[in-house]
Amino acid sequence: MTTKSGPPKGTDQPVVADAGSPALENGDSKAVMQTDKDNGGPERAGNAVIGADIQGYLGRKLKASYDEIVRQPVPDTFRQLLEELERREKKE
Amino acid sequence: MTGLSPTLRNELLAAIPNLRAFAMSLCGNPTRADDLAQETLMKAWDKIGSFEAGTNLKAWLFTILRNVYFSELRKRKREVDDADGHLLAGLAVHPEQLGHMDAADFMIALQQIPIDQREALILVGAEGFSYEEVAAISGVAVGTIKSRVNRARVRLTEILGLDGAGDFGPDRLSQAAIAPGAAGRPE
Repeated sequence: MTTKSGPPKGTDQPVVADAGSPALENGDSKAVMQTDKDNGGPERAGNAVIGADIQGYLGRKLKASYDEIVRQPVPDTFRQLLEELERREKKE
Repeated sequence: MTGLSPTLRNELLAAIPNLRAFAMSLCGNPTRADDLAQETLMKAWDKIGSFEAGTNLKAWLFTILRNVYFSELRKRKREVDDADGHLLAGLAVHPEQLGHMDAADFMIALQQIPIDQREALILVGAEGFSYEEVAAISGVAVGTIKSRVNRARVRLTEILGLDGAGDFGPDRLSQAAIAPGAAGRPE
């Protein structure tokens, strides 16, 4: 896939990742305005109410997905790093 | 520096899987996530003297990690990183039906929401920190964290098409993922 820098595919293209990002600090209000129009925007989103069932579903899904990463075996490089840190400390 | 007590060392070790998962949630790239977690450990090791015994070591470590990440983000502003490559690689399966959506798909959807909202949602919803703890970690007001978590939920609901409104086809997630700047990077 080489479309990552291509133009949006349709007019209803979801505008993502700009709202609430550090772009706001740069006065990049155009992107924010557009996001507001297309997706209900951050302000409306902040006041929106999600049903308890959806919220429960999201919560379980989030926890399960995250825990799956937590359960992954830690790469050996971490053990090596800690050993290196301890070695360095003994020398001091 | 006299070294870590065995207890502290064990706590540090025990936190590594969570540091990796948090880093992965923030940057969406496994390699970069491990770099982030390792940089956090090095910094923590150097600054362990400033850690207040009896306080939450995990919260302290998470604070270091997110500070490392956000200062890196500021440095990388506008720079294209390899997060997109990772994102695209994960899109072979479309979550056409909720029942079929696995963890990887969910993590990809998570990458579509703004970074500050994502951070708050992960810390509260996945790590189980209190709003107060998250406010301290992120250095903002408690109300800001509550608002970010709520926005994150709403945004995630939209991205996943859970609100059932309008023309959310099965490709919506995929389109969101390949939209320019979709990886939650700052502009």
